[in-house]
Amino acid sequence: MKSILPTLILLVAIGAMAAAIDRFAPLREGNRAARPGEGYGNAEIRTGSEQYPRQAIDSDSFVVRVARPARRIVSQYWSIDEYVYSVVPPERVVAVSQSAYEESYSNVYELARRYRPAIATDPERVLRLDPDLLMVSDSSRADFCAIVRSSGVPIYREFSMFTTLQQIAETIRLTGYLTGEDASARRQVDLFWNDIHRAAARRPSGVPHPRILGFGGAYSYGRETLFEDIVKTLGGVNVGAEGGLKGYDEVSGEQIVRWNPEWIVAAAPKGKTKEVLARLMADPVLGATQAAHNGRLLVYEQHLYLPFSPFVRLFVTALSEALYG
Amino acid sequence: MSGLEAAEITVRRGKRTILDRVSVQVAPGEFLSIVGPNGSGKSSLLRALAGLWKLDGGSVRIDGRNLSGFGRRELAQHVAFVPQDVRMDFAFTVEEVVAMGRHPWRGRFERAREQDRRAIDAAIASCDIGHLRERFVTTLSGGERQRVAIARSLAVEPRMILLDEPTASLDVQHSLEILDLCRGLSRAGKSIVLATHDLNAVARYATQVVLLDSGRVAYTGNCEGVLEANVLGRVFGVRAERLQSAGGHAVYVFARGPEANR
Amino acid sequence: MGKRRVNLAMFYAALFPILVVSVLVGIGIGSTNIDWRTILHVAGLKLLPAGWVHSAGVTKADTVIVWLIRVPRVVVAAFVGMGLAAAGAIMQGLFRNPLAEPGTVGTGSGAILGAVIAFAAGWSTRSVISLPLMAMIGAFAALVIVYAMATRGGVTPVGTLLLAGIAMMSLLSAISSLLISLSVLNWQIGQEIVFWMMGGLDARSWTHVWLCAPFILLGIAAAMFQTKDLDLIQQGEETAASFGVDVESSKRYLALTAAILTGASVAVAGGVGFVGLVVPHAVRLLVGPSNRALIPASALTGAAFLILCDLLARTIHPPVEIRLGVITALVGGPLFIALLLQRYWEASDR
Repeated sequence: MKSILPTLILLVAIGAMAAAIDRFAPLREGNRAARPGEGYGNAEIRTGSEQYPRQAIDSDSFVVRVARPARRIVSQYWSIDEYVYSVVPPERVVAVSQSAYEESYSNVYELARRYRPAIATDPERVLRLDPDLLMVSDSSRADFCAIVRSSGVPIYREFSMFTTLQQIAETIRLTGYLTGEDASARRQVDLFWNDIHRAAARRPSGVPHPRILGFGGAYSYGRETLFEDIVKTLGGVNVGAEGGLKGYDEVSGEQIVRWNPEWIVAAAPKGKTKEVLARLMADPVLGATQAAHNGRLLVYEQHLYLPFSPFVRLFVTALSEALYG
Repeated sequence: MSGLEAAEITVRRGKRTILDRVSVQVAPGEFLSIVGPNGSGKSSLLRALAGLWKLDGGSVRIDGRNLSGFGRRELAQHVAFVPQDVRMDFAFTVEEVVAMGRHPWRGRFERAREQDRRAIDAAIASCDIGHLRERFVTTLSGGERQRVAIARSLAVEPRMILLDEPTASLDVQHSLEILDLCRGLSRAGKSIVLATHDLNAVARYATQVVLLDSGRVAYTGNCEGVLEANVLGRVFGVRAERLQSAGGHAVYVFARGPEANR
Repeated sequence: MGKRRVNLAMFYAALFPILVVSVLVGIGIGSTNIDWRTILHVAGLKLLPAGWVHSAGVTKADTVIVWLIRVPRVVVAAFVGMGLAAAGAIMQGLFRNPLAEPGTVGTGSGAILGAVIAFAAGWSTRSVISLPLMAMIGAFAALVIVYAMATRGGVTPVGTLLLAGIAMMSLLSAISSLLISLSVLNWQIGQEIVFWMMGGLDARSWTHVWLCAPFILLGIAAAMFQTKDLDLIQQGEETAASFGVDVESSKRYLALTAAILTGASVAVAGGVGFVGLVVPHAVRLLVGPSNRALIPASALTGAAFLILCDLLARTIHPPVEIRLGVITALVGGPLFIALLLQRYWEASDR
């Protein structure tokens, strides 16, 4: 007993210290969001009244307070860049994510090039810009968010894994709410739904539902994905979901052949759509499908293919034009 | 009884019995030597006497008091143990190493006291390592390190000193110095227990001898009795011839077994 | 050889200015430029009683950057450096080998795995303190296992120890990788895990200071209680026992202390290697192996070392921050080789 005493005392000291720190020290980092794995894309967006100071609850369950319309906005995620540029005057965006400057991926590349916002990376650089609103994704670093929060700048962590067009529309509205550009956001939402409905209306009545597969290499889109929602809206059948996939899931060549989709949609880097199309047609697996035989392999440039932002309306429009002429 | 007394001690390791009902008595001022072939249990006996090993039978007492009744520190104040394998991988100075011998007497954060300094100085002088005081132990030869280790144990100012083959790596001169030192200490009233292979040293210095054979006491008594040719021959499996030196000391010469050539 | 030792007072007289300069430079340099006067101004605002310094001339951004970003980062670097160096000193004593380190014998990997488990199981979201605690438990468990594997009959041969340590590190890395691959769909957790494994101090805040500093101070204080015992254990376990040291109790206690230090350090900085090896070893060459002097001296040297390594990590290739573990390896590796060579030469000299 005596020989174990010093060790025991030390263990007790550790425990007591841990308990004391937990109780007294400022350790609140806040709750984390439900993980993206569960309930893919839970975008329950909770906002308060339109009176200033406004408040909204973010994906971390933090109450984010905005005191006035934002003049210096920082976005730290590729899709948020696109939301922000859709809704606010571009000169108010002082920082964007790296992706905004990538011509191949970004729908706001031109705007970024013209207005030259900074690239939002480490906390120091971001804070130097003297922002009054930060919008980041729910997958951003917790310590980064904690630092910004303790500096007093409003930072909103958004759900970023969208599964329905409704969520995208909601997020447009949210963007307007947070930045104070409600009118602009409303206009964008209207524009968004107009395009979507027009695209859906292209479908002639009585025509069978086209069976569409979203192709991502070894992956495809199953239930509870944005792709599924788009295809359903356009009156089609998502072959991935039909085949039992959930979320963005693995799919084998065999399965694709067995499902034999009528249409296949894929992405390509900017300027390379013809090459990718040729490659896919030559692919033994895809080449065996009726989509390939009937020339119904659709290849879109990366930035247009399924963007998780208001720009998805362009994808929906293009897709419906291809499906229904 | 005063001094160190081991009664019927038994130590087992797994299936093997390392010490089998060994009894030993060391009075103050006694110079006891433990001898025996390899594996006979010499080192084990030393460790058992030092209280470093748990006994599976029997008891060890100091002045009648069972070792198990001593606190660790208290026991260390009475009994010092010098192992054969002196490991000094770290560059402490000789002085620092010897100073560690005062550990059983000092509290955790106590400063060195006058008596500590005296004990350290005395120990260093006894082992003739004064000229090495500031040297790092990693730079010493094997023999020098051995002496430092002994000095460290001496610094404890113990009543009993147990040494495991202290002269194994020493040259003749230093061997004799150490043995003389031990004899001096025993004459000053300390009990010395020394395990060794060097039978000639035993013959010269020991006042009592214990001969071990496979964990048992084969013979115990004074040199004359134990170091008798037949006993040695039986236990060690060698032929022993006893001669007389000019100074009157017994000297042993050994050769291989009876069937070997002369 | 018999090189002279450096007088302890002189050692500290040289170390303190280095430490102070490291702290100042560490705070002064960041990814944006801030005038040193502004920095002092902010420090004054925060440290001195209210009213002594007026707040005009300092923007909110300046205050936040200096006080919430740079200062905590340097403070965390200091504590982690202290923790790892002290843990290394203890390890080297426990294993009687001047070349042992927290990483070699698996405590680092154990701490990382503990942290990974805390992440993967979701405990780190429920209670922030679970992270350093799990890291400490992992470090202790790894140490105990490695030590048990390598000890036979009370003897711990260094060769076996190193092999056992390597085996443990491989095993723990494999388990960590397994957990990463299982949670690969949860991208955020995968990223956090990889961060731990490479080590880094980006975006460290006062929270992290709270997470590590108390435990590291506790660990060092606990170690100071047993310096004499550790000195004796370094002479051989049997020898120590014969001088009245309760060897088993001490070993347990010291192992736990090393685990606290390693665990707390890994919890906030991830896998940072070489500090625990190189710093105590070099300091020992200067001030000697007596742990009463060695442990505090190593701790403070480790603090300065890590602050400077972190500075390097930030400034070598801006704006990219190189992982701290990479820098300590790049700096510590050659130093380690130099120390090995020195030992070899020393041995062949004799």
